[in-house]
Amino acid sequence: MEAVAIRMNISLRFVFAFLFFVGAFYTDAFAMHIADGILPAGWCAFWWVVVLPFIVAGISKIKNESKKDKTFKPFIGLIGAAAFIISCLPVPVPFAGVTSHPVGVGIAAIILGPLIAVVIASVTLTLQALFLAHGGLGTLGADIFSMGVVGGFLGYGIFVAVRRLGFSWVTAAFLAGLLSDWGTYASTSALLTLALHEVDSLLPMFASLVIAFSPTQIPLGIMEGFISAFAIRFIKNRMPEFSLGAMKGKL
Amino acid sequence: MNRLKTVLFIMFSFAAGGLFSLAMGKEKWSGVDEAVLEKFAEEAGRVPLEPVFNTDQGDLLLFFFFLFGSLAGFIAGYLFRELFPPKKEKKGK
Repeated sequence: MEAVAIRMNISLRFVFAFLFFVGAFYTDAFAMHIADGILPAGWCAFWWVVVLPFIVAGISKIKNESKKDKTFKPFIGLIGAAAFIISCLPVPVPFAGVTSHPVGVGIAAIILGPLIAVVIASVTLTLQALFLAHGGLGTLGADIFSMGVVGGFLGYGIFVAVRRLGFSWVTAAFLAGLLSDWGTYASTSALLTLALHEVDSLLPMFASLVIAFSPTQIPLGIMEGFISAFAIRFIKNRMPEFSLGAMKGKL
Repeated sequence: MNRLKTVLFIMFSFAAGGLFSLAMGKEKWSGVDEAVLEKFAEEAGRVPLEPVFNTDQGDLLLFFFFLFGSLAGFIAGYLFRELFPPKKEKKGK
């Protein structure tokens, strides 16, 4: 027992030492709230064109699923409200000295499916851009792509894949929450790099953005993983018959 | 004793974070979204525009955060109770 405690202590020290090390090289980072004016107009239009089919398909799915299941709409309201709160919650990150926020879309994708997660992300980001000075209307397409499309589909895909490999609900939810958070920030880095890189600086710029995100998003991603795992554990305990999103059928 | 050590360690890590960000010339506990965008945009020759409705003025942003936070919290709480009623209530039904 004592040996386990010592090992855990060493692991914790390693984690904090790593975070401090990354924090020491922390320069600047971006998040999925890209303000208007940052991306050129052409890229703004491009990301709008990319995300529009997802939004339309998501709205159509909401209409269809609502007819089949009466709990569907209340779940959309609950998860949407939770995603809104989670994605504008500034969490202070020790050692990095900055605040950042989780995404909340991974859990939405597990419970309601990735297309509906895109719709939830769209509503959330629009409200934040309009009233909370977070993001912009022109860059909304890019923000929806990184948070809704990449975060949502990645969270859903990871959850399904991990469950099919035979792991528990909690493990699958933890990994889905973790990787949807990291995926969102990686895609934000990628689309910023695509729009703003100079000649021959594509990979270095992307790598520097990913490294810059690390001090805040490594701990926040882990936190988001725990939130997702807790939510799925709660739903499975309180509503064993629950069968929506990625929890349908044999999964 | 272990609990005390954990509390002290957490306090130390937050203090270190605050001091570190000050030493790096960053605003203490600034948001990753805002603190970086302007600087990076300037480096890339892009100037971030003001939001359509600029609520980032004085306590106005705090008001909107509180308003939308309360509204979202109320909706989430109301629907949570509808979807997951307390166990006694569930048995009664």
